[in-house]
Amino acid sequence: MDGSVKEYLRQAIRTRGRVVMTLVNDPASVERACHMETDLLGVFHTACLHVPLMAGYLPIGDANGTVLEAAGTVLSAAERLPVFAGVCCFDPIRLMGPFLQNLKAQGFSGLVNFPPVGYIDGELRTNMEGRNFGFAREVNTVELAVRNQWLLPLPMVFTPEEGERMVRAGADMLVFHPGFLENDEPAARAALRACRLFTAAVRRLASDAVVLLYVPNYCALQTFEILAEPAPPADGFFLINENAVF
Amino acid sequence: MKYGSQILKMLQQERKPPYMVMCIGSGLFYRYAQNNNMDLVVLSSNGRYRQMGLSSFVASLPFGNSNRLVYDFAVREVLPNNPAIPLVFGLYANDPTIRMEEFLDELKEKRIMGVCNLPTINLVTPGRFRDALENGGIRYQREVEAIALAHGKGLFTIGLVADEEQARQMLQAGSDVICVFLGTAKGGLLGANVEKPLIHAVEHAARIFQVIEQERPGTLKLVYGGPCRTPTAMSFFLSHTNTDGFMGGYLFERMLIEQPYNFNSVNELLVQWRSDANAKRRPLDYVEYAQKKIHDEYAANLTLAALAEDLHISAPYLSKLFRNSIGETFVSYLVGYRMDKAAELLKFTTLSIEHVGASVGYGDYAHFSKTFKRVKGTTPAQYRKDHREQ
Repeated sequence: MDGSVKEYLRQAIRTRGRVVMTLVNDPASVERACHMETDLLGVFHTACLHVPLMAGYLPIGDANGTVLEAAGTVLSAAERLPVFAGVCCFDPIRLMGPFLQNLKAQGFSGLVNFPPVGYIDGELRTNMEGRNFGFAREVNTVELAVRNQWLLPLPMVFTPEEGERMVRAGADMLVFHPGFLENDEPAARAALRACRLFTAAVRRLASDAVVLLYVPNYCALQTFEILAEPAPPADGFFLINENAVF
Repeated sequence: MKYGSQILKMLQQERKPPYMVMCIGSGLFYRYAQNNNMDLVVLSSNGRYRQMGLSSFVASLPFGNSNRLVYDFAVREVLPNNPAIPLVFGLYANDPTIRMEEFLDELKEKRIMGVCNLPTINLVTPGRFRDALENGGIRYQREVEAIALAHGKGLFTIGLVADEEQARQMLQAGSDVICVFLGTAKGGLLGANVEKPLIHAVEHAARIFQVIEQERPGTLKLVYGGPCRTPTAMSFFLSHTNTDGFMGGYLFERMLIEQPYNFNSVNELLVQWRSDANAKRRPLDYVEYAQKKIHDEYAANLTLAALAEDLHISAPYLSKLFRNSIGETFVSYLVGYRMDKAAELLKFTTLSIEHVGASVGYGDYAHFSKTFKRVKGTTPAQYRKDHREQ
């Protein structure tokens, strides 16, 4: 499964220059997603709780438990498309090994580190790193998933250093997250610039790594496509579509 | 039923400042709160996470629904015991999965008398992530609105604020008590990595209190978190700010359970503070702080550098002040104080010498024995023998 999903995604990137992941939370949303232009399905706890992506960081639910609960109904309905799980890797009250095995057994093809710890900065991040549930947990999760061939990781990272660590952990497809963006041209240019630096750094380490630039769904993808035309900053774009659940 | 005015009246007429508000996460800790004569209890998710062996700040991350978590232990573990101390619910206001109005009604029905905006978004300090949250509609404003709504329903409210502007907003929302949130605390088994220096925290709280005094004189003012985690720091807040009391979770757990031998009991402290009316409003005295810290926490790992950091002055400067005022160096005073305490323990208890050493801050037996001999002129074993025989 792992090898074929990877090839499937590479094919999507070659032909359309992007990967679209549509979030689902039940059979009806899977049905709706299948009528949209989508390459992957994603089960994130935010979609299950009907809240926006940014609320994924809030203490309003057990992120991993919620994903696991939704898994049964979603995976039995999703026949055609690979399904990725949003895994909260810094969860200190869950053993990651058995959890990933369980996700694989349920039929998930891959994982996205959601919500990604890389977004968190300031004192909270310092405290998390100090208590040993920071970025290292995400790296370990990816490493576990790759080494045991459980799930294909699609890690979302924010800096070249984070990208390099993920490559060393065995990830060969990365999503560069440019952080919060305004929906305008200067913001898009800045994101493309940052992504070029990221891609260069990652490629120095692994020349065949696939890099995708995450474009938030409130941004106009077209602006990015036009600006990226002369010198693509990455292999393609990564989009998360929430329309099947809202 | 107007719980707000009822509790304020109770605090002012039947209790005395400094008020003690304990954040708890289980039925057992409700009992500890009662046993220690706490004035109010806050049912909080950070309390619950500490019970699970995790640091308080975990309460602001997506490992559970904060409101559900608190509601469950409140209903199962605290409410059935017919609690005598007024209960305040640690409310997560940015929760889009609850209907705030109905949720507050439900709390009131269950005879939970108040709410406090805890966990607060202020645990996320300003920066990229805070900006992204606010752009996603996750804002402090929601906490203010929840407090206003609760106040409107007659619930007692504690507004947790991080700066002057937030204090103004919470006062406007009708918050009965304003509590200054000082951030995460270091130390202990579950402490965080970040902590404001004590002097900064005191000045910060004093500035906010000033705003409160101007806007609504007579409002009860508390402090919570940050360096306010030892009796010494608490005395410091009492003597250098207008604080009416303390809200604390891990603060009390440390005193009651983790290191009870390091501290006087909460009750004793209260008696001491309440009788010591002069403790209020004295000028800042660095040496007094250092000396008190030694007296209160001699068993902990104390260094001049850490104390100087607390006070936000340089270590050489503190060293000089200390020597000039006390007549000996910080280290010699600390060692002398510890050896006096050790001598007492040798004389009046049957604790092993190793245990006595550990009780005064010496993990290494040989080191303790050597130091004791240097200061007291005789080994601990000989000292005990000499004083037993009399």
